[in-house]
Amino acid sequence: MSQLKLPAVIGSLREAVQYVDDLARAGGLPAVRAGRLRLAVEELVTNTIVHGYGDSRGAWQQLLLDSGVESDQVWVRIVDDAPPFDPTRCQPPRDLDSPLADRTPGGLGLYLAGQSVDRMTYEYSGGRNRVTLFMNRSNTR
Amino acid sequence: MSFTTTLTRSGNTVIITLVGELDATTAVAFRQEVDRAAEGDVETLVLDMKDLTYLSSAGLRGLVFAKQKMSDGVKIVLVKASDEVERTIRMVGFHHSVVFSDHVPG
Repeated sequence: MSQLKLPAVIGSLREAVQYVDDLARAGGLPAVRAGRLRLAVEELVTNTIVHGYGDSRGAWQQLLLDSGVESDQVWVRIVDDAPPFDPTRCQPPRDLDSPLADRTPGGLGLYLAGQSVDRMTYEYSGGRNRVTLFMNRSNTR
Repeated sequence: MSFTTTLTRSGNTVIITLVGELDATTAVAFRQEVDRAAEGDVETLVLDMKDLTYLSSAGLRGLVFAKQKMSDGVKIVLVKASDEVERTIRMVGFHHSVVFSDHVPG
């Protein structure tokens, strides 16, 4: 699929979601798995906008989405030039079994992202974060 | 993405009906509705999710906000959550703190 450049503002989520929906359709992902890929992309894009670019503004101030449909899988890559951050190394929230009243609200989004896709990889090169999400096309759940 | 809420109050039960997609762009509307709900004495907070098509972590933080905004004993009932919405809630362990139901208690 063609690339999509987005300004690093929360309003860009709509276009990002549309992009992922189109990708999922092109790859023939079942609705449940398309929804999961969407969730992962939304969480990662939101995290980059709110935290990545939140404090220390990168020069680029953009997100780049790239994607592909292959015979066995679809992938979508999120590229940004915020400070290096590897979402694949995030620890799961420690209080997953605690009552809501005692929960601290952080860390859920990246955890959900990692749990929702079949594979997630991270690379930092050329001064940019590159997170790639993979969904197998043959899985139905 | 569209998201709307309606609030009805019946005694100490508040019912918030969620329609559409609850994500980072719409979560503020949910929190405002929770604020309104918390203005009175609430024993049971019912979230009618039958027309909620999507829930992300921003919406989950709204659930934490609701629980912490109201008294400790408030019971949160989620009605007719879709499989995917329920899965997201279970994945982060929130099912320990809410009740899933097929109908609005009453």
